[in-house]
Amino acid sequence: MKKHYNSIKYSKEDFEDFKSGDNTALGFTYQTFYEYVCGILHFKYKANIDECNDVYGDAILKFQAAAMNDAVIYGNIKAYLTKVAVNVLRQNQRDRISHAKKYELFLSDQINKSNSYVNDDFEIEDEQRKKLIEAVKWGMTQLGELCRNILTDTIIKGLKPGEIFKNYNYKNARVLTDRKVKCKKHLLELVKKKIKE
Amino acid sequence: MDGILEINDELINNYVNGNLNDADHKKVEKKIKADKSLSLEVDVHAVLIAEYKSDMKAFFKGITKKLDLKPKEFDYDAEDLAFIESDLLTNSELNYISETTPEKNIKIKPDLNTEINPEKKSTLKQESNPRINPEKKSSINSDAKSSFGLLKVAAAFLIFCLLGSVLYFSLGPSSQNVNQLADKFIANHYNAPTILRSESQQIDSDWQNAVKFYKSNDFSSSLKFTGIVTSRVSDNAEYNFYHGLNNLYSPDGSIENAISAFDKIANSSNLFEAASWYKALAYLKINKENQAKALFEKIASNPQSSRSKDAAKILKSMEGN
Repeated sequence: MKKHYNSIKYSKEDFEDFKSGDNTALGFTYQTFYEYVCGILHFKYKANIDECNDVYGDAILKFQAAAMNDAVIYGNIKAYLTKVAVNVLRQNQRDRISHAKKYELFLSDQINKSNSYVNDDFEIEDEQRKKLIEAVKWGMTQLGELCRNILTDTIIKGLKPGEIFKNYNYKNARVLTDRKVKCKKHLLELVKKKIKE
Repeated sequence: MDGILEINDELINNYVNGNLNDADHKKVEKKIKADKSLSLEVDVHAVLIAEYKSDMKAFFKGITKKLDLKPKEFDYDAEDLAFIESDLLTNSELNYISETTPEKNIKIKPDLNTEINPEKKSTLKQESNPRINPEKKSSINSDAKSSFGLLKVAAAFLIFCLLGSVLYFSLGPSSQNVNQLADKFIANHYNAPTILRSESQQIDSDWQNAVKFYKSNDFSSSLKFTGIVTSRVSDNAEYNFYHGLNNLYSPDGSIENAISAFDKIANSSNLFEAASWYKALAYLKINKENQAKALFEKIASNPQSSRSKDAAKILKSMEGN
């Protein structure tokens, strides 16, 4: 017998924890909506399990960024999340693979060569990719913790300075943006230096 | 968007995530081909985002495996399906959602290019059955309200609880709340490292196994491999750091070994502050509050530390006990 959607329980407090960027809350949100969202992707849109997991992971991260940027508030989350996931699935099936996705596939292939559903037409040589990844990783380790955190929040997680400047005890978003520009410039110089070695 | 594109971080992120329309995507691609430094900048964005997503997907995979999650077919709500199957949103819409629909309590912000059909918005509905904290539920008993006898029982119970709390906090372990706080921070696992080829193939393969198990939240297996790599290379900060974390997270780990691993990380290392934080949490776990306090005070007094607020929170909690 099919379960009714009302069996999903997710409170406003759960959403507030998720919105704060807490990893435990992220994990809880992921597991809460997994069966429902992946159920639709799998049974209705015929996505295989690997595809479901990948697409749902992307959807959760998009949803988290939107929540942390205060762009969504508590409501019918399962429908919103499913819509995001279905859009990601359609985009993957229809469009070119994004630049970041190609690197993501490369990184996951380094650990586990099990990516089966996307054809990787990435043409940059493996060695070049490795060198760049190594340089970026090294560059991040050379930055101070503050710069690493700023770049993680703004570039990696896509959080807006206007939403997070208070976390850094800055007066306004402009101060954080200026700091981010300096941190990024420093990182790019480090990466260039490492690649030249 | 007009013909002139202003290259900024947001545009670069939209490009690397595949969120631009075809026309803008081509414009950015053209600029990248003509500008080597922009090309590097774009690649750095892509690598940073890819590394993060790769780590997060491994974290999700660990949850899926641990809980044996599988897609399920639900009795889908017709309104939800209508909303889900309405026209494909642009990617920008997925990223920028605002403008409240008050009756439905979901915000929708129209993208610069696209307006969302208000009729589609109206298919959003308020979650009908929000999750209620069972503790809060148990405090509400409508039947008891109408019965004097039950009220007396409730009053007696409350007095019992009050006395119990007083006794507990005066006689019980002083670090109870601090320990709970420490557990909460420890449960928030540190991100896994990225694997790169190193000079020694053997160490590299053990390290790869350590990272693979760490990413899938199998800290006991990861601990075995971090044990191997740290016994071979004792001065590698990253190996020692994750060996310490595995000792902290794994049921097979030892808090003393975690502290000893964190101690090996030099203060010039970029992992030093994170190691100090976890070392302080480890001290709390074995009730060495003085050592923990000294470390938390250092972290809290550093305004540039991302953990200064959390450290202050723990210190406050320690004072409260």
